[in-house]
Amino acid sequence: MADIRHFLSKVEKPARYTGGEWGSVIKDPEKVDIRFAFCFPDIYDVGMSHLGMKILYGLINERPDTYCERVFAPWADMEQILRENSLPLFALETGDSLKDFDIAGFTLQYEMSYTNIVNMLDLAGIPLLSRDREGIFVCAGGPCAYNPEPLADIIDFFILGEGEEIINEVLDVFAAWKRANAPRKRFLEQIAELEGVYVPSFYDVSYNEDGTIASVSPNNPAAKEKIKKRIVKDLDKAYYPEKIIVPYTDIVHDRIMLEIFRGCSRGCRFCQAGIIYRPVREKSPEKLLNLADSLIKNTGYEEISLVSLSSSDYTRLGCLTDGLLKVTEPKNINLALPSLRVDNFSMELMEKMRRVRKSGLTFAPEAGTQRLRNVINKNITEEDIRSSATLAFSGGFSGIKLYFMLGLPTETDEDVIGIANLAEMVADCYFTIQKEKRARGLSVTVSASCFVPKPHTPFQWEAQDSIEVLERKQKLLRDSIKHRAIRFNWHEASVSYLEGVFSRGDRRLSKVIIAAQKKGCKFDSWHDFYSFDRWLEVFDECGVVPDFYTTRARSYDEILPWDHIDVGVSRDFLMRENEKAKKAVTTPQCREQCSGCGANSFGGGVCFE
Amino acid sequence: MNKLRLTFEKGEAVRYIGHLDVLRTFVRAMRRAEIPVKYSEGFNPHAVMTFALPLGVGVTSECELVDIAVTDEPHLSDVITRLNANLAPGGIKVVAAEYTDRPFREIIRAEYVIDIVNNGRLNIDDISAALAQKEILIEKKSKKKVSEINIMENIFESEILGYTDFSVRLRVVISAGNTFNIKPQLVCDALSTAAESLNPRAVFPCRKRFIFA
Ligand code: SF4
Repeated sequence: MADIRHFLSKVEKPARYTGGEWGSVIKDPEKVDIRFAFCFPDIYDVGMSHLGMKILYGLINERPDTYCERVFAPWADMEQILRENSLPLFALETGDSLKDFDIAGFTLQYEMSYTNIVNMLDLAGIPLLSRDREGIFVCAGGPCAYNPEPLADIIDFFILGEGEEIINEVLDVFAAWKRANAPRKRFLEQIAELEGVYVPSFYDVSYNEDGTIASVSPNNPAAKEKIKKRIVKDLDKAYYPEKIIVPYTDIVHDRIMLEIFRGCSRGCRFCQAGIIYRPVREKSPEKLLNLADSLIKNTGYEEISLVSLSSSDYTRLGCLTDGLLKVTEPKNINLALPSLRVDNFSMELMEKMRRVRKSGLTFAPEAGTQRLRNVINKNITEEDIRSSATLAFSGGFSGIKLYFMLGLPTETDEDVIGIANLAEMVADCYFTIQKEKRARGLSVTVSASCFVPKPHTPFQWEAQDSIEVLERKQKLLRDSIKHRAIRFNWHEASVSYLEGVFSRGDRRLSKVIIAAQKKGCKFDSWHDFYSFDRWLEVFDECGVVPDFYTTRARSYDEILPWDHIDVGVSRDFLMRENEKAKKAVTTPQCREQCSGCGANSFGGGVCFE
Repeated sequence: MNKLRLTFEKGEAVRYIGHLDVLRTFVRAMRRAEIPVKYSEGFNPHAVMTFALPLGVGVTSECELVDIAVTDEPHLSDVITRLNANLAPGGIKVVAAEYTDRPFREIIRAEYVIDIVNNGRLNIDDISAALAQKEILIEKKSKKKVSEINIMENIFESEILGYTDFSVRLRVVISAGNTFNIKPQLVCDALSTAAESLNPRAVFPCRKRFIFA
């Protein structure tokens, strides 16, 4: 067989494929019972930046009976070499073929990576359909697993919820099953009984004439009616790695990531993360300072970044940043505070940020008018934005990035133009500061993504704007921005359209994903390979009408493909929120007042503070 | 401030990392090992260190040199032990440490052992004949320009250390230095223009030692 080493000098960034980094785990594969491959359906540079992988890699490798290795999607140059030389996709630690592992676990971070999953299975020589598979089990978890249906024919089982809470139980069952030499199906039945595990082949789906779902019913006694996600109740007690892999080559987020809390108490109605990670659970500053200390010692990283959905919502941020700066400053380590909100951005916080690194600031008003911000429950006012921007400019920042979404429910042209007005207002704040007191070179960046309605959110029933409508709104916004210091970035509307198909898709899409991979679709979130026309051909050939999933509004009594997945937030709550959205009525956040979403059933977090 | 000079190996596991990756790896390993490195002044402080001669992607080495400014005078054997305990196995390994001022610009040549895996059957006489030639012209690209050079004027010693029907191992001593440097891959490219059966599929060079003026 050809030797992969003979080709490494021919690919871009060969170190993506050679492993051996500081912190990577070395075990004797002969001496373990379970070979687990953590598969990231994107390249090394992206996958290695992912926090969830660091946590699970560390956690699984704590088990003496299991060896967890990493597998990434090879870039096109390497894929070509693998295919031309009939070399199988391999794991970084041992170089062993993925096909020979016991379990391949994919993480689903974004819908546009689905073709990469199929491509990786294909490169490994693993049958693409679950029902054709023998030997290796293919599982998946992560945020997109909360609507697992588009991958239902491909993935053997899904893990719903936080992996560190459940993966050990799955591996315990696997070890026992393997020892017992039982049939393949038996393992699936055994784990189907664990809370948080979903085996899609144990469910039959029937359809109405109009294409909507008529019923989803278990076909195996082990299968539950509803599968409820699992979460870590107390993050201070949960596993968090104190030693992580430090890559040799540059990756996207090359730094220590310190997760300060999970979830978000705000309840923005478009936001899936805000629902699926409920309830909010914080780590204590004491725990975080200890972790930071070990991670700095063990990695030697020059930067540490706080990770959460909204850093400035951490209840003891002052105490935490003071403690961290005491450690990082003498050691020349940068402290980064991403994900700030404008309504609690303070002088004190800004002073701290300036002491560590002067980079741009990012705020996310999401919508251009107060009315639309009320619709999406983004409870910030124009005044919040004005005061934060003024504060930032007077504090020596000259660049501000503003994030918005186009295509939100009820959006009118006035809301779109409102984005331009808001950006102008921010730019004007700069000129209210005396010339000597402000930094030079004002730049305001308006970044507008296209709204994609997500499962388990109050907007899960809403129609998504068509590509034409979105493109018209993009043009309207571009034309409304007059100020020279304002730059405008927008997202490709067709990518959001595709994302919308798979985001709210059902299991009839598995064949589409497979057909798309056959046609050469991969890395759809990368410009290099993306072709919308090719996708349209695939839909056409598969007899699937993508508009059915995107531009069609659903009624409250339609059975949604993910209705049997329970994230702990009730359908009632989502309906109430959707109705309030239509009236532009806001809902207070968890810390002000509980709105009874249902997530208190997990027995922890903000609901009991 | 003292100047600490380390000799280190770049092993097989890190053959494909580039010079900047080596640098970054060192900075982080020194922080893990708590070596008292001196940082530059200014808003973005960085460790003060200089490498003798950057090593390319795809090349391993047994003789790399780096000077590191330290604020203290740490014990040399202690530095070696602590750094190696903080470097991944098979990758970078520190083999010697000293306090010295001998400038890197005195490096004039370097010795390499190059393993070549050939496409197709190799005729070793071809290679001997090529190595005996007086002139083989090849284009040498540098940052600024492309120039034609005679590679043979830059090969001071050469030897076939071993071969099979499909591979050969060479030892060469070639020009090296920060002002004029020949890469081992260029030697292979030049030889394959002169030796008909030589058609490298993969080249695995290893830098063995530096020769100072
Ligand atoms: S139950 Fe109440 S406090 Fe808990 S997450 Fe839901 S709304 Fe927030």
